[in-house]
Amino acid sequence: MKEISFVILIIASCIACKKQHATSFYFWETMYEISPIEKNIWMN
Amino acid sequence: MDELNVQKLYVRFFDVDMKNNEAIPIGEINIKEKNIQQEIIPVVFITNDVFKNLDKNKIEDLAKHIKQEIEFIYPKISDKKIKEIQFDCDWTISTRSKYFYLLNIVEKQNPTLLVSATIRLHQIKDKTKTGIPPIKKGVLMYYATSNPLDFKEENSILENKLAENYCKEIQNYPIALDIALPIYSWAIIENQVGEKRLLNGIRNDMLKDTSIYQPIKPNFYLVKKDHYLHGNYIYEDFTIKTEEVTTTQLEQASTFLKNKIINQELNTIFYQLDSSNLSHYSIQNLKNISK
Repeated sequence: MKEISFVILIIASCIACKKQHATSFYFWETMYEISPIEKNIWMN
Repeated sequence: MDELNVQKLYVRFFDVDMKNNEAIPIGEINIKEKNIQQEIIPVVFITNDVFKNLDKNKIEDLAKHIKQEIEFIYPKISDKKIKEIQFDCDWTISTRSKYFYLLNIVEKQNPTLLVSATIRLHQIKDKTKTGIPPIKKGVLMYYATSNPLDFKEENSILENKLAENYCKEIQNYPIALDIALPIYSWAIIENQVGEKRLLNGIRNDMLKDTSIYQPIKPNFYLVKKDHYLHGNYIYEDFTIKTEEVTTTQLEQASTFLKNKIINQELNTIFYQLDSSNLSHYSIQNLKNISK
């Protein structure tokens, strides 16, 4: 019974571990320049 | 992206802004080819102006229009099904009720979709004032810790101490959070009369030529002669400040957040995907940071 629990624990740990490995990216192809800071103009 | 085993790409599809008293999509993405590997998550940025100008009836229409626009664009970029839509809005106390209403409506109109939203550092810190969006998942934008126009010695993209201060009580935030970490860079150019502008994609290693860039102090340079930088004409006597985030800073941010955020699944999203940004970080380091 202990062995089964141990195996379950390992599987659960692996799933948890795998879940935390996801890498993603944001992709902003163009910037619609709404924010003044993003506009290519001089600011004070 | 293959080496990193990237599963998801959060792609900004368009912004929504007011024009002639109407909320309309602006700056739509120009898609050149389909992506067959990653899951594409459409991201829509909405200005606060939209919520200042629309009443709740119009917000219901806006929710439909946004979905229609996403459905028009999505097949051009992916053959997969849309599973999630992400909203990006720097909402404030004055706009939150209408923004949250929009999020609710989109979720009700699309019960099979996950509706997520970006959450800025000040929205985490001041959650009692700015409110908590009615969503199941948020993405903490762990960057933009100060105003780049301040032109101070601190890095406006990310100062970990400042960011940690914003997130002291993040473990109590009631929504599951993913984290977005900055890999972008820019230069802030100051002209002779103190006006400033930004140039994206500039890093210190581009300003090594001391016959053009005289280092003044770390990350600050005095321009010694007129020249083009990334297609922009830069005059003598301009001052340039570069801002970029090191691998060590990213590791520190990631470690802090992983110890603080308690949801079972924590994904790391890097802002933003660009071959130039990627070339400054090793695959192994990005993998470690995402672990």
